[in-house]
Amino acid sequence: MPSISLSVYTCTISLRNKPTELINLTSVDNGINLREFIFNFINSELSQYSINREIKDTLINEKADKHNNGISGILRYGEFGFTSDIVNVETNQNSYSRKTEDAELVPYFFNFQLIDNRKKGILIFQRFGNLGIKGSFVDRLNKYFNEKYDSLKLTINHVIPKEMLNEYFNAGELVGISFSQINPPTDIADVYKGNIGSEEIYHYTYSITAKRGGHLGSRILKILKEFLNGENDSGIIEIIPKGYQNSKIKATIKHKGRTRVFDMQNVAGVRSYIDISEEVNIQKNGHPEYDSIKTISDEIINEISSSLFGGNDVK
Amino acid sequence: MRYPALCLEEMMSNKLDIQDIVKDHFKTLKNVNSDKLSKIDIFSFYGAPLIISLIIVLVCNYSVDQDMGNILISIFSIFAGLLLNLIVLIFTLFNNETTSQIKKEFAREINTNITYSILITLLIITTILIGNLLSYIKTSEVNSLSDKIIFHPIISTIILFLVVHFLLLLFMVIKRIYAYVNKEFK
Repeated sequence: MPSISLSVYTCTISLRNKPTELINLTSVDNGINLREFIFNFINSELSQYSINREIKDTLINEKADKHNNGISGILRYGEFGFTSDIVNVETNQNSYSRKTEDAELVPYFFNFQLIDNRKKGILIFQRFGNLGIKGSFVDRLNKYFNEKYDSLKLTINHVIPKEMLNEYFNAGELVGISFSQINPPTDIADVYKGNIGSEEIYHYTYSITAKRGGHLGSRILKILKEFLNGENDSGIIEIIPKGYQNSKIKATIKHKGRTRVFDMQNVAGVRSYIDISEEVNIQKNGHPEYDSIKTISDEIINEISSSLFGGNDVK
Repeated sequence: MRYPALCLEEMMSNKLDIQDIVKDHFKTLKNVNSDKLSKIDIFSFYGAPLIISLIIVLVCNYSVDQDMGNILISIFSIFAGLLLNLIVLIFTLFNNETTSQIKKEFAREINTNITYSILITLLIITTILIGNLLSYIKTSEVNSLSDKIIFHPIISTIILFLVVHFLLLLFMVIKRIYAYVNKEFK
């Protein structure tokens, strides 16, 4: 049975020509209300099957509820382009032969906290085993957003709980950190064209070895925090490098004889997701109960929100 | 009661006032992220042409002559006409109903750059004519009308500065026109 987990992100809006200056999620001056915008996007663009024939996937809205603090609901997502046989495990008979144009739709829960006078929203997407909808949803949302607001930029960043990083960084040694910084264009012509600018690479190499009986966790995390400008100590590390929305950070970690490079904005190979398989109520159809997963995601949002902004937002 | 002569002067200076074009053009030489004047742009468009023109005149001992002046007048007259057409193109492509702030700002800057470039072509033509006149007066004073008319080094420097400055402006205008028109095809 595939695990049920939640992946957590923050979202911000900035001026395209000033990517470090964030604006409120609802800004009259810039004519944006992100909560309304995303709700309209889900109800209009995803009201019918949104098919991407290049990536070969499809996404459709099943339900979307808007409330004062954000939006939550269910999206159905599936991939196509390959064949498979669906077998009934009771009769061992072939129930159906899936064709390349068939997409198996699975429901995925989402919960977004988008408060008007804040500069950051919190997005939670459900994952089903190794599959999730964040990439497909955000790609479509970004395309829709860029068409409507070409002077604004919507950015989605990973949020990784400290325990996840502790789990890996405690057992290994950090042998290097490199970060690349993308400079925005200085010419309005390049901004208009949509160029992201040149990439400069800054490379720093650290080698830290734990003493016998000791561990690296807090020291590595302290170094990472200095790099990442994460000032909060509540256990939430937001992967946004200091002063820059568009930087990439890579950490090189040696563990059990193998050296691994982690892209800190897309921590491949490390589970940066919150496994809730044990907590959430599962229905007979194998999918989580809506109220149960919503309650759990609300609690996570409150934890992250209190560390980022202070105070509970979801009642 | 206002004196008619003064009124005329006021009317004339207002109609000839091109300060806004120059000021607005300077405003386009900024870093779009910080909104501050870009030192690199100022050097590229003004410092470099000055250095190049001084090298050509002082080091290479070159001065613009009447023949070259005539050629330049022909060339830049054509450029002035072409650039005026470009303004019409930008105006035609621009949809006033667009809500894109970037697009409006960009169109405005392109218009300013092209207008300023036309101004420079007029300045080049005017400088050459002044140079012709001054050289003519000088050669007629010494009764050497048969000699080839060569412009004063200062006039030559100004003409060369403006020519190089214009060429660099042309690069900027071409880049911006390409970006603007290309996006319309998307």
